[in-house]
Amino acid sequence: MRGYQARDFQASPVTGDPLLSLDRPGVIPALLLSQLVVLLPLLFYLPSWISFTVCAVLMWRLLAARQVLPLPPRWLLVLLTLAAATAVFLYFGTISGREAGVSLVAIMFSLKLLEARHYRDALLIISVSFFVMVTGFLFNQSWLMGAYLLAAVFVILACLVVVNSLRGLTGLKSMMQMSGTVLLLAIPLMMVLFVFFPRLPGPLWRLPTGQSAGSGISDQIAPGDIASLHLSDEVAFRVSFDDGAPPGNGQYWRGLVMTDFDGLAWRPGRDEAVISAPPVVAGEGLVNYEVTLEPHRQRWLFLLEKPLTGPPAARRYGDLTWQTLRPVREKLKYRASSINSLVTDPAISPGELERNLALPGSGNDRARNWARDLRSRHDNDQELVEEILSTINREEFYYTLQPPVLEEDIIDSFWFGSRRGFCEHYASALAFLVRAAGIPARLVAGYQGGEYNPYGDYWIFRQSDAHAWTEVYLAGKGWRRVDPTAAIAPFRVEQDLLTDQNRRDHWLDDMIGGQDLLELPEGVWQKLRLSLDTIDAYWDRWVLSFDNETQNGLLRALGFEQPDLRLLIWLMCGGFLLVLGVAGIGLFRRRPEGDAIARSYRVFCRKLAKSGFEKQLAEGPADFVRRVIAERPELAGRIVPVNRLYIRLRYQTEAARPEDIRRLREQVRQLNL
Amino acid sequence: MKNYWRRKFHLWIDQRLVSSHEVVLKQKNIYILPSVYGFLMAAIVILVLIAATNYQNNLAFLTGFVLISIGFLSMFYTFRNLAGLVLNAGGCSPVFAGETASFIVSLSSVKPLGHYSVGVGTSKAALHYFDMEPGTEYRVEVPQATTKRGWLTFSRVLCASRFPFGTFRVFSWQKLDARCLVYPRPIQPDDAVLARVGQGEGDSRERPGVEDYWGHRGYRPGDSKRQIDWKAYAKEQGLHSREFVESAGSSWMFRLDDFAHVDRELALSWLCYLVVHAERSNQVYGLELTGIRIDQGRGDEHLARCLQALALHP
Repeated sequence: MRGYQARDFQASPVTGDPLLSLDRPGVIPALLLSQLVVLLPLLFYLPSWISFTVCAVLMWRLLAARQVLPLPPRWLLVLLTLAAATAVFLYFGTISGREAGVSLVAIMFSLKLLEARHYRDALLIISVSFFVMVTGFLFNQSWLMGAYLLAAVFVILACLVVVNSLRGLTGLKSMMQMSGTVLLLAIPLMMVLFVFFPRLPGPLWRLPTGQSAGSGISDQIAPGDIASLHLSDEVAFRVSFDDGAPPGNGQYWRGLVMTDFDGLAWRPGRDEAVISAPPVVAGEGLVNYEVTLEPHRQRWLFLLEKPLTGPPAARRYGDLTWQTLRPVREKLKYRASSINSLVTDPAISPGELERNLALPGSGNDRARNWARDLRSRHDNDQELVEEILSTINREEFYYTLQPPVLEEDIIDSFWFGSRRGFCEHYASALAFLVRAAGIPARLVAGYQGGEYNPYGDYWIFRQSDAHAWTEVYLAGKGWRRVDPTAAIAPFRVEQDLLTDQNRRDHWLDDMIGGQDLLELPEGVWQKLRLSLDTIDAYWDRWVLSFDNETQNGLLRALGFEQPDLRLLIWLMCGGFLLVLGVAGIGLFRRRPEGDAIARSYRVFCRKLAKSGFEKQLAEGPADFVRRVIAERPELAGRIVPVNRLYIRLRYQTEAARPEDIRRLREQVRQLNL
Repeated sequence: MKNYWRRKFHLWIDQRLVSSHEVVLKQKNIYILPSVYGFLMAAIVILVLIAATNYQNNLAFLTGFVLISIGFLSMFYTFRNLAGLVLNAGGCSPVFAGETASFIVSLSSVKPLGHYSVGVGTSKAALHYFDMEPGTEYRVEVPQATTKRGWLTFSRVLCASRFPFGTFRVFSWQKLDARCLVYPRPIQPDDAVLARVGQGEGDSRERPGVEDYWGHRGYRPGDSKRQIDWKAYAKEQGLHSREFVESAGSSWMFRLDDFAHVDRELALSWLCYLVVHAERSNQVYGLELTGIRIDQGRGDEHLARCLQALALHP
């Protein structure tokens, strides 16, 4: 019957949905790219064999797409998956911890593309990639990671457009444009949600997190053990003062008070009393400040000397230190105040007196005798302490970060032997000697110094600012700070420790092999570092530490007396829809292209007007240009082609092509009369 | 279950739709629903937000929020990809019953934007996808199966797209004012039947269908283009028509009444075959149906007239 067809009929090539196949050009590379983008930050935190496996799997898929290697059969995939899970379990001993869990997710995620054959696999990979991205934030939440998030979302969206597009990769530029604009529009919406999304306080459940030793201050001071103190530039905490830093040089930030000495190490007292009543307040110089504490996995908080109030969620102890209930595992922001002339109740309980006078039963006999001898010469406690300080200053005491290891009677061997050490040596020696002389004394560990960041108006305290000093109890006056390290004669401080500047500018020299490859004016690196730290601090303040407390504070500042959940939801939905509406109007009210031609011509006329040629209303474009050329023939070469293009685009019957419109705009823009 | 709702929807949409020659897709007639993948994304977002709350991880919150925002924006983008599309019903060449009719739909846009990865077809399973750059037009042949003769009205047309992010499915059902003439299915009658053909008026009883080349004669206006000896014309020998042996003498008058003893539809199918064959064999033929009589003639137009009469015979 074929012969009877009235005409030749060709069936439309409908063979199912072409969009459901992954064979379109660029689809597999797009999926690979979106996987790579989210796995990349993880590779820095996972064991190297995991990273290697992930890279190998991705490479396999790439080679398969280029027909170099075949795709693995299903049984091999199952085998690989099981092997990977087993390997992760054997390596970590668990599959539920942070590292183990993320490792498993990373491997499974990369293997998924090896079996992707359908559109739904592609979309599964892309949506899961966002989740994998989030697992990376368990390791790193810096602002760089935030910037990377936006870049990754941009790339993944572009890949998503490729997967959903009939042409595959051919329209890459317009697809990137699309994902770029959608991301730009999404950012304000994201901000609305970030500010108003109801935040629940506290975790819903806890997962075991990997233990890593916190550097900086530990809960004991054992001066004899340390042969070399490593100074780390790591930030311990940042402080911004409400009304500028307190006057005077060198801020002392108390963290931990140590009263118990066993002959080798100082430790915090066992029975610290929790007190709730504020100490007696007198005098002036109240300082309010906000501290952003980096996680140190300990409970103690740092407050400026003579603290008055601390964060409400922490406990205040009798020795005027504050501790949280749980170790600080995430960045913690708290407000506190100190008072320069704080007068505490000079009374001291008998138990406390006893603890602050206690010495080990034996050992360090020379030091004890020396102190007793001093006592016999000085009745006044304060004079006695000053005498010890002047001994340090007068005699051959050195400040060094590489002290010799002390054995047995460490106070004796330091005070009469090596005479080299850093703050811990001096503070513990002073405390020992003072106690031996019958005056209560204790050690304080904390930070001292700090660096001011003028770009962000805050102070940075690094691990290298960690310090230990002594507090001495003077009858009738209370506890007084005595910093024996400050008494060392400046010329006996190791030269490169004199300024922070020196120390910090040296690391770069070390990095580039100690040669002056890069000679920059002094302080450039410091400035750069401070600027980066400013970004860090703002990121901390406005993004990372934003929680339901900050949210409530913000709402109160906006004038809502009692922010509650319902208000938040109203604000969130209202704000979101408002911004979404504006975005929608922007998307649908696009000026027609015809206007672009007229706009370009208006610019053209404006440029001619500046050279003194005003277009008359009754004048056509051709006549106008003819009049211009008649007066200034030298312009003809520049304006005639533009005018010709305009006339063609304006008066031709078919619609102007977009590239012609662009060409006109470009020519007008470059026109220089 | 799914089919039940689909049927309900189609019934409802049929009541709503008014067929017209040209349709502009806009807010009123475009539907948008989240796709399966959209639900998957929503699930991932919820997962991310739970994790963010649990770990108090603000960067994870930001990820969740940026995804929510993109999800809502993608609604606009998906909608915009279809909005402004203009569907124009084009013609449809007649076909024989059983063949596939293909309706021409020309697409253009009232917007200065392109429309990408848009599918047009009669059902979700039979979509023909295309990309349309700004300022261009596109023609799609939408196939539709035919079963019986007569006028075939263009069924609902589905216009659908998931571009650019796949999170939403935007679609529109439209009724375009177009119809296709479907001729009866041609069925070759057997010899016994053929013996009765053309009784009374035909002056030859020869069976039509044997194409014997007879010779040339000069071209006369009215000769079929098929008869022209193009080879001779190409050799600049002038226009000549080829003659076939029967064409000189055979002339036929096919009557429906001749087949009164069989089913009407079968009779029409036979007649259809005979008419087409007669035309192919360059014979002169006419047609007589109840109440209609087409005088003897020849040529494409004549054939079309006969076939139309057969197609539309009550």
